[in-house]
Amino acid sequence: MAELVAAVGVPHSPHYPSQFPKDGTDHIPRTYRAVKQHLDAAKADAIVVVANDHFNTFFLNNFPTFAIGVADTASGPNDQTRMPRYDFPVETELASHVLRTGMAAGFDFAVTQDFAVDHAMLVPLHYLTAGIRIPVVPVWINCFLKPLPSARRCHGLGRMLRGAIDSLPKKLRVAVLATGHFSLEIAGPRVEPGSRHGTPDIAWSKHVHGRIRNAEIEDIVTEATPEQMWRAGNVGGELLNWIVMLGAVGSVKPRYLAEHDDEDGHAFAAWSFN
Amino acid sequence: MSAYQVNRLCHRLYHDASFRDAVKADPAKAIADWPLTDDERRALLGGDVKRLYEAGAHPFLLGHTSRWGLFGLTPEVYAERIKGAKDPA
Repeated sequence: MAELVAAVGVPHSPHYPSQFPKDGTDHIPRTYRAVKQHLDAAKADAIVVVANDHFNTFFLNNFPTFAIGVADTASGPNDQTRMPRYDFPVETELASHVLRTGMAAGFDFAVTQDFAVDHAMLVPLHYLTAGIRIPVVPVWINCFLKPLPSARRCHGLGRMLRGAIDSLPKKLRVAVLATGHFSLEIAGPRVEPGSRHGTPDIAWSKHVHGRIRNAEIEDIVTEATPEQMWRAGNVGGELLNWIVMLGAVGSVKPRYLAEHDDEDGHAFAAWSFN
Repeated sequence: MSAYQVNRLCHRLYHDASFRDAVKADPAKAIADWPLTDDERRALLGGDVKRLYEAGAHPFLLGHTSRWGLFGLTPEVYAERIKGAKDPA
């Protein structure tokens, strides 16, 4: 049987790769490397990546609330992110099993069999793997096109995902990777003067960080209302990616949690199970 | 205005360098064939991002305009103009 061996959560800012080399000494690459150590130690055979598309894989003509990629291979980035181009394998058996398990449990994924992915998946994979040679299962959550799925629903999806991992009849060590911010506004009314972004609710980001530290997952699910996530910025809904991962993890404290950065509404965290 | 075509146009700006160059060279001509309402066309050509946002242009798409200074929108101008915009219903 397959098993969950690690879970990690990190931001996915598209300017990182051009600004911070993977082996650089800045805070950002160092913190990615701290998370990577936990991921490496877990010796995962596959990574389920939970992230949100930014109108690069999908568009408004047909925008999925939940989607999964089932193909042999995929590539990216399919946006203008300045970073290496990757072709990477997809763990098709696990992807198909998550799709079927989800359908049986009432989570009706949209399915794509031919796709590329944007910075939300590739920036974290760039920092956390050696060239993305490890097979990936891409899961997309709508985090920024209202109406968003509820936190409760996303938590349930994460629990379903854990059940799918646990029931895959194949020896496979699986990690789950969630990406995104807790507070961030991009190109909306709450950006900083002269800037393309802002952090409208750093107190909320810090609060969520504390909840994660204490494994108060049920509280996060209750508190992450659509109104609260919107107050945190037009991509404040990226917390939903994390909530999916936390649903898979359960109420367990992280083995690693970087100190909250009061300038940036994000977190770096890692769980491992052995 | 539903802003769907505005969103589609901004998406094209991001992914299609030749369209982007055409908009840079002659904005009115480059978008002449797009099925926009008069209101949308006027707002786009005038860089009125507040109006477009309030009409339903998604910030992730609308924001692409300021990456290349299109429609007179530098990041500074964009940030100033979108301030105080109300969220669409």
